[in-house]
Amino acid sequence: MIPTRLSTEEQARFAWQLAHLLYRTTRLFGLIAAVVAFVCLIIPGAVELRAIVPITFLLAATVIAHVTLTYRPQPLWMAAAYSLALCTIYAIAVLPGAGVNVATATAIATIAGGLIGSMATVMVSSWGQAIVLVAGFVTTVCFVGALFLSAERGMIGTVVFIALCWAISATFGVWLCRSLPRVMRRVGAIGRAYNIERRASETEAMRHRDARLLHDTALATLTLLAHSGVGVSHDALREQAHSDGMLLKRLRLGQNPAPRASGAYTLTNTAELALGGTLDSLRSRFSGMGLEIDWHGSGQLGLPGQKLEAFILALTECLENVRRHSGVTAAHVTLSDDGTVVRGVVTDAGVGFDPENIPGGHLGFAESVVARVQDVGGSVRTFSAPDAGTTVVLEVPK
Amino acid sequence: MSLTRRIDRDARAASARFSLGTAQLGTGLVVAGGLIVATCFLQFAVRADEYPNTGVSLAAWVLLLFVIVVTALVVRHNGFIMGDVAFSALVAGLAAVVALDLIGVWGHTGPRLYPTAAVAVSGVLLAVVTLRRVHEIMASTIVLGAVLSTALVAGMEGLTASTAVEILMLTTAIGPPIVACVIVASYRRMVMMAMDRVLIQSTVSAPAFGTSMLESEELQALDLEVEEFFDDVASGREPLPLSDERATRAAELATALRMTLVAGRNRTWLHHAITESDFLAASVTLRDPDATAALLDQDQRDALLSALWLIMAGDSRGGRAAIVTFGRTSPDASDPRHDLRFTVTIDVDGLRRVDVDPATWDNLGRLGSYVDTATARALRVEIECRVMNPGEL
Repeated sequence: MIPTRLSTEEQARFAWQLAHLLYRTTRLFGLIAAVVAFVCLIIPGAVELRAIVPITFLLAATVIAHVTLTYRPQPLWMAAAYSLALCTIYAIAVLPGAGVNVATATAIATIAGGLIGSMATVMVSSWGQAIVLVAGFVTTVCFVGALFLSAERGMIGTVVFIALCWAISATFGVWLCRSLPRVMRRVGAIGRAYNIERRASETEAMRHRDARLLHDTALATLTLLAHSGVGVSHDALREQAHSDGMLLKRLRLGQNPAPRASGAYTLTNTAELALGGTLDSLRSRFSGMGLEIDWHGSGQLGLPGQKLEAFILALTECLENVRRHSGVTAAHVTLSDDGTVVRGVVTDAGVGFDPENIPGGHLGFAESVVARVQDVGGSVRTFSAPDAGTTVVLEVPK
Repeated sequence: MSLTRRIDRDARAASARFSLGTAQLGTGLVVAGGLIVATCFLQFAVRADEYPNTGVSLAAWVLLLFVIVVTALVVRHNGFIMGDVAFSALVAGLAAVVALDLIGVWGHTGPRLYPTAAVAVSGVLLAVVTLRRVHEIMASTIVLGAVLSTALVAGMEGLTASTAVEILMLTTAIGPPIVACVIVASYRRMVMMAMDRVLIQSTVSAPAFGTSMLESEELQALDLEVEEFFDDVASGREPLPLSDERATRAAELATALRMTLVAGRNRTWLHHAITESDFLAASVTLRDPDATAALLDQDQRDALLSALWLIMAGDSRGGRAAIVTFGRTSPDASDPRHDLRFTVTIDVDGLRRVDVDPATWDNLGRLGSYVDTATARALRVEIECRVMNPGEL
């Protein structure tokens, strides 16, 4: 009955929810029936005053047992509710001052059909229960029929009504027991489909992000455009916008672009590049924006692709910071590789800053430099003071 | 951006609802409704000749059967979906049935002669509960109950024993549809919650710093706008130097891109789980400045998510709000493997301790050792989590 491929906890929770719905249905039907039966009994002329007290007492006891069974589902409570309900019916039919008349017959039918019958909802989930259910129904009908033998009128109508109540109540039970597992299976299937979709979307997002970080030129071009393109040759900027636009378009169409050039500067996939080419392209790119770079040291960095990528991107961001904030037009970059650590030192003689005092909320340095280097297990040290220039040391272990 | 999220979520909820399909909710209640209609008809059939205006009563029954058949055909034809027009037509048809049937017995107060087709209308309402919104059926049932009781009171000659039968008839007319409405409402809520649960469950096995479904869509949308922007610049449609307005837009796009490409790495699986859930997003606030949630292993993630979900799931009135706070990590000095320790604090407002689902405590226990303090209206759980130190791997 319980759908497979759900965790044990989910299954337990699911079974609990189903039971909760079933018993709630029983409780609702039962309470409605009890209220209606009581109203029928207190109609003037239905039952004499001396009989109403014991009957009310029995009816109340039945309701208590019935409600208890819906919160603590045990056969004992069910048997108690059933017996008490039959006792109530018997009391209504035979107590002095009571007896079968139109009003009490209605009350009896309501108790036998609505109150007892409401238990049918929770008696349909197995064949054993169904047998008990049928036995309970037959006993109830025979019991009521025996009491009605003396009163010749309305017996058929009463039995039909009782049968209707039991049938409706049982139908609710069958419906819930059948449809809820089906819906839950469906939910499980949707969950699995969604999981696959998430994986696919993650792969796609990863592809996008990787490609974007690898050729992080769209961001640079946008930044230039954000300053209205002031200080850059318009033709060069148009050219650059064109190639970046094409790059994004190819990315959107599902290709993995590896462009060779974007506007004035050459682009190569850093994972497979000859380092000299990258450094040259960096130099010419910054040169185009008014910052001259002097390279010193090793032209070969023995880093695996991902680390090299992070290292170069962090270096680029450092140079971008120099260009934007230092106020000078030259920077020195020293690269070294001592066999265990690759080190890059970016130095400028500009205005400097107080490293303790980088304004909060700036995505720039912490995210683009420190986070990138730390992601690949490296570290960043910054030496600077106002008016004393800045030195940034990037270290990435091999 | 928040607007797109809202729309995405609504669209997602709508598509989830659609793919579940109303037919999946089952047409089992049609059987129960059919039983009511059949019993009422039987009641009418055995005493048809005693009715004062048999023709009118019979017309009510013919109309009712016609309405039932047409509705069944239309609903079947539309793939078990009942549109607004079909429902309005059904309600109009049923109203006509009730009117005809009441006219048929009007003025006649003899014993055991009551409207039958009007009562059978409740069977039809019961049968379509799963096809429409609950409050619509509820309102129709209440109107039916009001009309029937007004008619009964108007025709009554004081409180007699036969009033009992009239009360029973009224109960038969409105009881089953009302119970069905209550149950179907819980049922639907249960299914939507189960849906929400399985959807966010996928974050448990996702990368610690994954991209959310919404974010990757955002990145694509951003890229597309940037692409068009570049096209405009490259083709000269956008003259250089740019206007202030366009330059500002470029700066905004650059910031948004930087946020999605770089800052997005601070968003943990838990952040995604909460924002993607209709259910948690409204009521749970996450405070995790150091992205500590990323350190939890898969079992701990499952435990935390299940516990959070159980805490919020028991709430039917929307009065609960939770704040999940991740503390700072510190190395466990006593541990040779240098495990990291940190506290997760869950503050829930509007929850009594007795209302907590017992399974919640099992889940919290899987997350770490916990201490809970409760006041009358709030619950605070502090969980001491221990995770492997990623630096020691």
